[in-house]
Amino acid sequence: MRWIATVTDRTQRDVDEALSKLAEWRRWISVGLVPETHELKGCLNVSDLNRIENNLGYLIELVKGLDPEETEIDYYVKIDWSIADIPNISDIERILGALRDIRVKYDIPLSQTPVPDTMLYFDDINRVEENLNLLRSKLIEIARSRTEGLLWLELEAHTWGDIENHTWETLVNIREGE
Amino acid sequence: MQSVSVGWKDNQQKTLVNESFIEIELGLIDPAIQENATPSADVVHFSNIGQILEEDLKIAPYVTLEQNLWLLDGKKQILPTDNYGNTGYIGSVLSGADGGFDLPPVVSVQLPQLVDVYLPGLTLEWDQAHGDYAVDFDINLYNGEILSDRIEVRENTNVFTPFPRLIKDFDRVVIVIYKWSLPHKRPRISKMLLAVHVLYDTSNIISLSHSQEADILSSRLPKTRVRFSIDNVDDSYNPYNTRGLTAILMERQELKIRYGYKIGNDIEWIPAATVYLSGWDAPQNGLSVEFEATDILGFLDKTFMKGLYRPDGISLKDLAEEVLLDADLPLVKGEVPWKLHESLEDIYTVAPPPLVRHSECLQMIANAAGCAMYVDREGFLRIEPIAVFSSEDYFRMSGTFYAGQSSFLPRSLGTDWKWTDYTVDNFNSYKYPEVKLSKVLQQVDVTVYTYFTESDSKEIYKGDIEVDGTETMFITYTVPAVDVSLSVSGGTLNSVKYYTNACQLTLTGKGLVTIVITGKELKTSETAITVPTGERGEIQPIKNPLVTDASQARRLATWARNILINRRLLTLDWRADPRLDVLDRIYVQNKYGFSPLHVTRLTYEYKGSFKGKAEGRDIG
Repeated sequence: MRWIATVTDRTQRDVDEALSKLAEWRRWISVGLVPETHELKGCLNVSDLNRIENNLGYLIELVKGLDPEETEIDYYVKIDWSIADIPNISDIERILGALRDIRVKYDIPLSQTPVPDTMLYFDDINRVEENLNLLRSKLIEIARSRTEGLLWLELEAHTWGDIENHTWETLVNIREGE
Repeated sequence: MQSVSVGWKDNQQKTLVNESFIEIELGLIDPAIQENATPSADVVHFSNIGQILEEDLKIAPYVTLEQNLWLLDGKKQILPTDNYGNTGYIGSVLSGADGGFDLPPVVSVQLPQLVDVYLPGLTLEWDQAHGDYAVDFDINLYNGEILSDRIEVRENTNVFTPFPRLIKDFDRVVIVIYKWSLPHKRPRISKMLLAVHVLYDTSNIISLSHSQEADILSSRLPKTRVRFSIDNVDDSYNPYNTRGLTAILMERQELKIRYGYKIGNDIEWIPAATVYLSGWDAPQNGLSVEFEATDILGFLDKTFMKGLYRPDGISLKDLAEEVLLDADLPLVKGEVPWKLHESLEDIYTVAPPPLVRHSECLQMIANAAGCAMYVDREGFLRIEPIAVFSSEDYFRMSGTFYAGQSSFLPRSLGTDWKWTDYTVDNFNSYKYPEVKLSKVLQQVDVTVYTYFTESDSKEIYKGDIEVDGTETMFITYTVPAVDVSLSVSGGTLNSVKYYTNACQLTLTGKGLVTIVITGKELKTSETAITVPTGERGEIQPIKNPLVTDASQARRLATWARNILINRRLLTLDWRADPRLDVLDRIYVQNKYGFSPLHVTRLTYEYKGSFKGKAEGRDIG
């Protein structure tokens, strides 16, 4: 699985703007116009949930890669949510439970970006995605501590165009942001 | 006693109380039509479409992945895996990019019968939980397969859409939704009421009188009655006004009344009564219309025919439920409209209720149990014990003691008891309470009835009945009887159910049908249980045919004595705080101090402010 950049800066203003935009679209539709609607940042939509599940799946693969004996963290992830789907409490508990279990396995202190109890408030989702970032950093740090070389997963954000002219040695500079 | 805030209570301590309010909500609806209707549509798995016909339903705002529905404001809910609660109608298809549907969702509501009287219209509430609504839709009214009326709505912009338009001659309502207010959303309906709601407030209520009566001994039926007059300057209620509201007023329409006071910057409301319209009068030469409404006991005025002699006994709770279920009462807040105290489960009778009204049967049950019967402000009929004396609390309590139980207060009132905080004193009273003394009680005699049957059968009914086709009827026997059998000549007996005082039968025939019923007569013998007071005076008899156990009779007699030995009956007249209910205990000031009073009659008069009159028994 490929990591997808997270969104962790939702605010109350995004929620307020979502309300206002929805009211505006309703007005347009009621007079026969067709607004070009899109997913709003103040709402959790299909792409958000698929991104969260994808990144969770990425972490689970990393955990298993680092510890092939691991059997506890064996969560299923669903990355094909659609607008017709109806997640329920078991889906939410699965996502939050997986985050908690990975944190426990790698001794992340409880006080550090705690996992929320639910996914209903903008800050809950920020914290879910912050946890994904936190765990990814932690897992990469562990992976790097086991090898001096370049980790392929560190290049995944780059396209072939970005890296086709590099040599193996200079690719390390990309990893280090040079 | 209604619960109120400290601010409310403080307000009552002022010389001039803050502005008061009344609100009367008249739901113009026939409850029977609404409750027995059956909605159907294609829905998602967690939709409970039947709930759209319920009033006062708070829909759970469950999140789904419909575009921008999962608003991250913390006010939504995640769908549980089962027990979905209140959801209403949630269609299975999603709106397209322009809000339209490829295949318009259809919600069909089948009514139990043809509505052949005018209804005042209907009210739709779309997506209460998320604020969305149908923009374009039709409401089709069908009489069988014939379209009798159609309401076409285009460019709607409201979640709550009342249609105050006279409608009749339909037995099915079909809602067709063409366009939703947002794309990629499921259609939702929270409520569909075959009614519109009319709200009266202090701007158009000229006066209101609200009276409550209840008896601790259940020796008389409780009663809640509300009378109010409304401004009719625009002649809306003139029967000759064809565009007025009189055509759509129906008896038994529900009225919800609440009282309020301005507390700080807000109005604090308490429920006042849930009653049902019983009459109205709009004088041709007047400027107001008078309404009268009574409580749910008004629905219990038919004779209960289905009483059964049960030699093994039946608990008074089961018997009360049998009577209540037979009365086919309207639901209150989606629940059966009664609350029976648990102690009724432990008191038994073998007796069949006599042929009296359902309300009187319940009164007998309450009396036999040593309970009071009353209707609370939410409209629930309650049978529960009322503590005769209590050193704990002078509020009405339930669930903390048992029917017929008495606990005595010391005669002098200590300061460390938890007294009621409702006081009628020199500050809020217009005059000292008037006192009347009841006669000195010598003893209470409770009759215990023993039932036995004759060994031989005899004829308990013979008669000719005119039948035309298939008819269902009750036949009352000349005497109560068991082991009943029936013969029919001149017609066909389709079915029969035997009760102790009557039977219900379905006959088919043309012309006179002769019916002969035989059975063993059920007789009674009587024994009196006496509980004396130690004084010379009146004998108070209690003759209740449901009392068939001597120990229960003794408890009843003791309980009644403990109430009746309080001889001072008070009448009050004061500036009322309308949180007081009948059967509450309050603290009343007389010329020589204070004493506790058990309120048994209560009337609030409202003409811009509340005034109260009450009667009760001094229990100090």
